[in-house]
Amino acid sequence: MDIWIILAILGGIALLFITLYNRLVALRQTRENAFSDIDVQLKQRYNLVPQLVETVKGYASHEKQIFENVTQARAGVGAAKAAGGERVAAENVLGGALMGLLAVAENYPDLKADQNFQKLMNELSDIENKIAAARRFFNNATSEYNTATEQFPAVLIANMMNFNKEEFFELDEAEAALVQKPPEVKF
Amino acid sequence: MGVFWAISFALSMMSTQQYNAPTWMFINSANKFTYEFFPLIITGVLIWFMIAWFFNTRMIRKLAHSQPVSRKDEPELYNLLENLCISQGMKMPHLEIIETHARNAFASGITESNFSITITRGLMNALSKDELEGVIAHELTHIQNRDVRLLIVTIIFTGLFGFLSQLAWSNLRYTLLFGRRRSNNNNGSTFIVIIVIAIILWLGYLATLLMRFALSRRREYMADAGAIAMTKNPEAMMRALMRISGRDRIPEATDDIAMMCIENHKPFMGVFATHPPIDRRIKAISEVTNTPIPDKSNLAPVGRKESFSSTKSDNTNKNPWLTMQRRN
Repeated sequence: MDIWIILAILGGIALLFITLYNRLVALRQTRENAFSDIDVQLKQRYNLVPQLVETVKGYASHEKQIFENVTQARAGVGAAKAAGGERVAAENVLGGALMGLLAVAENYPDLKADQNFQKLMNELSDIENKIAAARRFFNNATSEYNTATEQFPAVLIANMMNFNKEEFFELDEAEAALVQKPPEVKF
Repeated sequence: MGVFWAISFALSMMSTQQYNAPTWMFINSANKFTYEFFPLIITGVLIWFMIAWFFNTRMIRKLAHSQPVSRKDEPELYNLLENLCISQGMKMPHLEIIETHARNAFASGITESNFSITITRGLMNALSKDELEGVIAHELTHIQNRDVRLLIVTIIFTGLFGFLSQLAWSNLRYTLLFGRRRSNNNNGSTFIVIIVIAIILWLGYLATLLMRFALSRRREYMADAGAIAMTKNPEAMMRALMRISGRDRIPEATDDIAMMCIENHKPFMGVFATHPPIDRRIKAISEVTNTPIPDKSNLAPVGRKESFSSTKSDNTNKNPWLTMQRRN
């Protein structure tokens, strides 16, 4: 009789353990999927950069420093393939460099009137909006996951099974400004 | 099935009218009744369910006179929906448009592959971008909450109760007409039993009906809340509701479609309404989010600049100002 009670309690604990563990796994997976959503958009931005640089070069070929910045930042993103803090930092650098490029473009009325440039700007602004949306989802997923790893019974499992607290996708200030005010063409 | 068996047991108990007979006779009779009619009913329900499952998109499209649009047809609207979906990490539903001046929108679909959001042209023209975003977020929340599926389940349940109460009613009439001749001694009590059963069933029917409406109203509040959580812009949501108010009737669509819409206005029908009154919804939003209700008289018609114009490319060449506004 006593054995059965002990068994039932053990079974209950095992069940609780399994449920909590599976919840943590699911939340971690959602977060990873969310990052791949951002990744899709970031890759599009990455692919858009050469075209943008070429177009601006056609009108402002002597702004060498700016082009170098952008090209380097893009190379930095290409080098930081793994998802994580390094990648996020590299993407932020690219965002900042792009903003520098756009600031330069402001000084060239001919460039701003260029059809191709306008098209690229619209595309870029669309991509930035989508990055912002995807990042919102990613940060929500991250915060849900982090909360779950810190709540009481789950925190024991999280510590045991190496569910660590994860980072948010945060912007540095330059990029935050860019997202707040998406690049627009005024003419 | 259990419910069905129990009811047919009760029915057989009434219809045999032999109170001194042993219980197993009623059970036999109930079994017989169930076995005779159940396959028929089950097949009917299954066929109906299959039709609804596979053809609901087409049925709704026919009923509402809507047509699917792609990114090319309505780039801005499509983009708005796409960005909202990305921020929720959900698969993008199909987008459809009804060509009418009414201002309304609804979500439909049962499975992930056929979820869709339908919007009227009038809504697109009358609302600014942030207001339209609120409406789309409202419909997206309906999809996330699987409200359409719930609606179908409640319709099936009300249908079941309606069917059973009709069965009891016809039985009652039968007893009234022919019962008297068969047995005179216990006629009165049988009559009362049948009436009681019929009343209970009718009450059940009424209750499920009212439940359905109450559930539907509750879901509207939930969708409003979800929409604001998505867009973080309660003020635009309130403005959108104000603009929709009183202009929601789609003349081309039927009542069943109206039930699914963002607003379905029925005067003087509090308990039967599928949607809470719009001013109460606005008040709820304002109270929960601590935002003042926007002034109705200040609600100027949306200029061309902020609204999605229905004329897509035909006048961009003729009027250069329009092009500039749209580009900006």
